[in-house]
Amino acid sequence: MGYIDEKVVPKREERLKACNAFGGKACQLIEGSRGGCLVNKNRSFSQTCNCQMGLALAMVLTIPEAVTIMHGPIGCGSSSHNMDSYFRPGQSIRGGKPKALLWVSTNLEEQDIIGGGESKLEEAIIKADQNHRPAAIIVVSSCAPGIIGDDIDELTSRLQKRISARIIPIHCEGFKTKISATAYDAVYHGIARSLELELKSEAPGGLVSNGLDQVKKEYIKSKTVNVLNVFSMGRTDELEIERLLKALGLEVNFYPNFAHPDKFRFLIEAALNISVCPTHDDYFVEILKERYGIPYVLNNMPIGIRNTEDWLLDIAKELNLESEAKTLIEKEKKELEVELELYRSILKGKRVLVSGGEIRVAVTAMLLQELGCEVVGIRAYHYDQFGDDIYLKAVSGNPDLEINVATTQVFELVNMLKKVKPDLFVGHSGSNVWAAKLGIPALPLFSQPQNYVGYRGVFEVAKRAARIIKNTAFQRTFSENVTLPFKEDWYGKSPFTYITEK
Amino acid sequence: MSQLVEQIRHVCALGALQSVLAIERAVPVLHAGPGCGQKLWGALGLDNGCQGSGYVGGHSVPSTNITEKEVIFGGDKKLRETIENALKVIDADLFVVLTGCTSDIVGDDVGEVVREFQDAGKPVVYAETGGFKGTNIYGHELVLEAIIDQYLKPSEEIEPGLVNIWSVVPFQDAFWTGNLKELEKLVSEIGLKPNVIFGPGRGLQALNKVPKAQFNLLVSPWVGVKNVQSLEEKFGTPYLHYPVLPIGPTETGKFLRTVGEYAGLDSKRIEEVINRHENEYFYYIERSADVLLETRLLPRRFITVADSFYTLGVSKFLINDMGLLPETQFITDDVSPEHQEKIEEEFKNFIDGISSEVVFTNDGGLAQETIRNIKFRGRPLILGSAWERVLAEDINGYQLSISMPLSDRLVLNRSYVGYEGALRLVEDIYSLVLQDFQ
Ligand code: SF4
Ligand code: SF4
Repeated sequence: MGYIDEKVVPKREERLKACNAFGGKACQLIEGSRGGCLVNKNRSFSQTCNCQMGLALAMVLTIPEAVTIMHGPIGCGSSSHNMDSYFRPGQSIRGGKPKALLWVSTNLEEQDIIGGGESKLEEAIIKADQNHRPAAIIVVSSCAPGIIGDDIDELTSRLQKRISARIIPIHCEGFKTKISATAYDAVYHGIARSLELELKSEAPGGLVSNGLDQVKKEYIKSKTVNVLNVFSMGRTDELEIERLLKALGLEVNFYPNFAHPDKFRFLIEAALNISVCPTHDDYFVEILKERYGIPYVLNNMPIGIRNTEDWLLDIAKELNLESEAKTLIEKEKKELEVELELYRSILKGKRVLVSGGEIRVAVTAMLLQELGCEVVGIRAYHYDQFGDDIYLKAVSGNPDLEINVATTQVFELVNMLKKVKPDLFVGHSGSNVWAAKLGIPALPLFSQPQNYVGYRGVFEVAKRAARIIKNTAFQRTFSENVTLPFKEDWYGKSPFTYITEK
Repeated sequence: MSQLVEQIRHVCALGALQSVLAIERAVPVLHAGPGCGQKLWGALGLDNGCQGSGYVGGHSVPSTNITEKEVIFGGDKKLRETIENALKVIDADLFVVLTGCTSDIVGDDVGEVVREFQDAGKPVVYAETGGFKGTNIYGHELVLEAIIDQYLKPSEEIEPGLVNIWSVVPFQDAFWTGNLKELEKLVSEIGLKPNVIFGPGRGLQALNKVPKAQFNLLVSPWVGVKNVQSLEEKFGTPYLHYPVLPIGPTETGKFLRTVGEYAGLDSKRIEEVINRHENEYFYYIERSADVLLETRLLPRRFITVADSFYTLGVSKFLINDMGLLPETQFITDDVSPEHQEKIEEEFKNFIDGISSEVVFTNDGGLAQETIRNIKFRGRPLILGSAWERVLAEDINGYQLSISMPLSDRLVLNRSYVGYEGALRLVEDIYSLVLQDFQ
């Protein structure tokens, strides 16, 4: 890999040939992905979507005892105050003392754009350190400093010498990539370059010298795993993951969201790194494998019956726990079957369209199929090689299933919904209202307080989907009284009219 | 503006995309990075009183989503293509192209591109709202300037009694629809024909009437002065600048008398209107007086940390009508220096010689630091934003969010303006205090 020595990680268009524009059949998508040619697709009309800075913020703002500095004009990162209501309960539910979110904007103005913004950033870092004495100072840089050429790495490494907080520079200028998931690499890159990921030599006369303790330590390590958590899964989901892994005799630590900067020093005291989303963690688990020889699993997301099973078996295989895993899976599935019966009859044959994150939509589609629904379309925020196997599984028997790769792009969504007319829409936050305007009930694709993951997640999703379908009065009256902002003849065209090849 | 800003209470100039969305069937077209629109809408809309997408906001806003390619090679072509296709796909009456930092730094010739569409008779205007140039309040003024300059046409005749009302900044003020409606109602009750361009049911029909007005009425401490001056220059329409958002009987009465006098209306009619409202207002106040006067219920001291509209309007009401005493007031909407003195004057001008200290800062961190250092006797009332929730807990105060960001409230058509609005404010403040006793 070897990107770790570079200041900036490459964008995913380059590193993974990832794309964010496609419309067509599933088989064409996978074929295109394997041929590496999807990356050339573009749009000649688009709507505002998101940028990697936003996704980076969603990760770093969860880190306790840190101050986040948004280096840019004041608008970038402006909606982060909504993270406060996610961050504070997230802290307390994990046993921390809830504090208000700390973040500062360097507020670049016209004269800074001309003269450079480094001095303001320097002032912000020093002030943050003095006023708050944080464990870490995270510098998130936006488009403007990227274009005017502020050298935040030089500045932060110079300042690090006289500042006690760890400074973590993160390059996440929105314009640099169309694939906002590049943010995950950018954040992990910053963490790997700036935080201590191992406990430096222990004090003389410490525990290491004692042979028995050493054995004990090794044993604990062999039973400890790291689970890399993601923004869209809340504590409820983490608890389900913990429950399943504990049943296999494992201790679980969660990184990087909500992990204290000092906690990262224990990161390598684990036998395995476990991803819950292949498109989230590949960059980081590879670094940890290269540097410290820790193996990882990265194939799947534990959502739905089959994928939870595959995910558990992947882990078990690495740790020689296969028979334990199989027993657990059988028991869980048996219990779940009984509980699902009622909902299956309600959900049977319901036509569903799923829209959101690349991997999440595919596994959620499979979950809905397991409940008896018919999946009539999938929309992914972006697409890359990590989708290939999972999408093959998800569309098996229906290679012609219509797939749209689009980061938001409501005009394409609405056009598709008008044509497909599903009974239920399962969408990323920000999209469900547009389905409702067509009278289609919607189940959020994720919602942190609720459970979606593991066997409990299957039950919870079934229960909520059944409830949502039961009374659609809101959507019906709503759709009768509002209009969509698109011209009538747009619906006569293919939803993919503005996807171009260039 | 402050150097560094903690806890923001406004966004950047491009945030004026929300002012465009406040005009029915107008749509912003962003020439900006892929994430700008979402963040600004999140800050001013979704997480500010739950003001969501509406007709064509949120993720429906067309945007060029600038990438490296446009930064290096220029974005004119991408912009032209996006406008052209927006005209085909989006069902709207007015398209307002707004630039973000990236395109302003790169220096795309947006004016040139937009003029091509204007020459072809398309309803497209533009404003250069690169975020580094100022706040969304400044951006709001730029959007109005753009519409005045590039869209509005002079009118042959003037319609007597027609008054354009300009006041709070849509979305920045989560109560804007309610507030504008209330102003409209009051103005029509004294016999004028109000014209407001923002809010449901107005749109281009209202916008097109702007040059026909007898006068422009600006109800604002400072925002919009530039716009009414431009309207005067371009169409010869005179304006009345009333600097206080009228809340409660004292200020609202003064407001109605001032407008009436300016418009040359019969003062008898105005007094009748005021009388009727005051009777109704005091009917409710009388009913609640038993509880309000219960000493332990009345927080005596208050602080505002808010836009100038509210710091001033609310202070006037709480001091002149409700008998509260002011601590320091923090004005967070980045008031441009030339207007600060006049606003400060207003804070020296309460009844009984009461005056209040004011601090102009858009750095919430600074405001909170100052508040933490004040020694309070009794529990203060803090009228600010959701940022003040934690602060209020720490200093044992009562907190009500009235200014951006209002992430802890759902706002539909509530208004804090006039007689009705004052009653709402009293309800909200004292419900808060009562809940605390339960
Ligand atoms: S300017 Fe760039 S970093 Fe800032 S919000 Fe826009 S796209 Fe994202
Ligand atoms: S500050 Fe500039 S780059 Fe950031 S959101 Fe505003 S316009 Fe976009």
